[in-house]
Amino acid sequence: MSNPDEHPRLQRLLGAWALHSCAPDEMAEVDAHLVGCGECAAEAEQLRSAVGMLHPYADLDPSLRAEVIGTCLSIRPPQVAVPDYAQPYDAETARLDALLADLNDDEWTAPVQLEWFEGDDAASRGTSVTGVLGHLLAVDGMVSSTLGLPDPVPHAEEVTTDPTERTEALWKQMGPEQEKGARPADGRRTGTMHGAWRDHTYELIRTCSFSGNGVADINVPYGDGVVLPLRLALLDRAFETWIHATDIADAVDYPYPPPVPEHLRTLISVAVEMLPTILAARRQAGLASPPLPVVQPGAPARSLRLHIEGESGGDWYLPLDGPGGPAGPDNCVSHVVLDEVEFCRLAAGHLAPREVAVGQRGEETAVVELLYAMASMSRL
Amino acid sequence: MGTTTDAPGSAAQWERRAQVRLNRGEAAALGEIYDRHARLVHAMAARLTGDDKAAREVVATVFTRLWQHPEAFDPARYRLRTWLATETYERATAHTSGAARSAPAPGHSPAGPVAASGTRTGEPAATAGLLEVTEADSALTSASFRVRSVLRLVHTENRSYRDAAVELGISEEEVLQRLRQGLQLIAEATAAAREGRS
Repeated sequence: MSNPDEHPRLQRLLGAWALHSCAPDEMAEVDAHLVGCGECAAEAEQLRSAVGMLHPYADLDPSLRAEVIGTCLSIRPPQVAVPDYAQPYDAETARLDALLADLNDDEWTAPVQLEWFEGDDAASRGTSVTGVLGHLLAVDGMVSSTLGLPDPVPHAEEVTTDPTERTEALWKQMGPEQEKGARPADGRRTGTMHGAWRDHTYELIRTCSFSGNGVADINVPYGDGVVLPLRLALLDRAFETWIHATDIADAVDYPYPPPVPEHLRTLISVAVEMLPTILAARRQAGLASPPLPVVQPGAPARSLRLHIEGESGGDWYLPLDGPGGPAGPDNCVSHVVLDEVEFCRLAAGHLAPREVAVGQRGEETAVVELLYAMASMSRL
Repeated sequence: MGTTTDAPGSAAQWERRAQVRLNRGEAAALGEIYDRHARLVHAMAARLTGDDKAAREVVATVFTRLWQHPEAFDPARYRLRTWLATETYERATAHTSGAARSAPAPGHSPAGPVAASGTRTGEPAATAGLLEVTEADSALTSASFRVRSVLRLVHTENRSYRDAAVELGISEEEVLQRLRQGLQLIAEATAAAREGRS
């Protein structure tokens, strides 16, 4: 009965056996094996006792966090609140943290493809889940070091504000096996990329909370010669945190919905409002056609109507011939309609301009140039 | 930066600091505590009430109490986790005895193995059952998504391991391994709780 050759196979069945989820003949085989195998009998008893501790429960719904904190703060208003501009970052880092707490050890090394646009071409780069966190940490560090917090990138004084260089510097110091080992009850470990990233996000949120609106407009050197007010830089970090969380979620096949509508609306508005400036920069670089009044002196400046569909969308008239230019129904030459999530994926470089399902009317060049301007907002 | 939370000493230190932060009304501290402990509070509340809507309410009540009265938690005497588990137990049992009892799922007593005696508000239950439940739910909620999804299909939805493999699109071996791993995690956690008590 207790055939030693059968031991490994029957041992592997013990969990299913304890839960009565084997076929009847397998249940009987295990029962018979337990009579003669002390090792399996001990484990079987142990697993049986664990079954009694199981209960049918749904996983914690990520949306409960905002609900519970909202209830708390309505009952006792905070003396030190998380400022509005940091709310999306707070929410998105918490969502990513919850996803990370759910990963298996071997999923930390799952290959993840990062995608963005460089010039007018799609670019991509392979890394791991750990590598994605390193990238987020390296770029978040540009915001936190502006606030006087320690820079997470090693030898940051020698590293420029280039996000790619910073990411590579951080990747270089990180070992591949960092995320293995026992997981503590709160779902993360010290000395890991997960722990380092999370502690850093908390420190950033906390510092913004204490500094409040006093720091909202300080200048953050954000790479590629771009300088953003801290408030916008942190909103962009919330956006990137979401986009890279979807990269991780895709890699490990995990459901990951978009941010709550209120936050998504803020993130979309910020991106839309940057578009005229980006379009102007692309003209300077010869990547878009020159302003119409320059080509045809005396011609009126044009605008484009951008309609983003969805709960977090909206309607904008964007000046086409210079960021400060007039924009409204009177000088509108094109009309573009885009879905909210498609817009975000385009702005994140995760969707090519030619793949976008866009509804458009009017002057086509203006539309194409705008779509490329959107895609060019992405970077590693 | 780099706050350590794994070693018991530094964890206690973190909790003392967290309490000071709560006292001075720092909303970010509430978020950090929620992120660390909400899974456990929610899982215990769901076990004890047998109902997800009730569990959500219990989670809100427990964190509201901590936010409103941070002084009710004494970091010199308890770990925050223990305090939250006790609060959860009390709120959840009050909820089930107060509300019209709905029948729990077959085979799952809503109160589980918790003995109801010996708890006062703010005092961690001296009962063995609470400690075991806390450890079991800690183990369950910190198990990976993959392990939990297999346990849920097989245990809650009564699938055979073969059907679970088909449904999840993974190999039977993988299902077997995850079931065994999940049960081992719970068995080890509850055994440690029992030993700690004796």
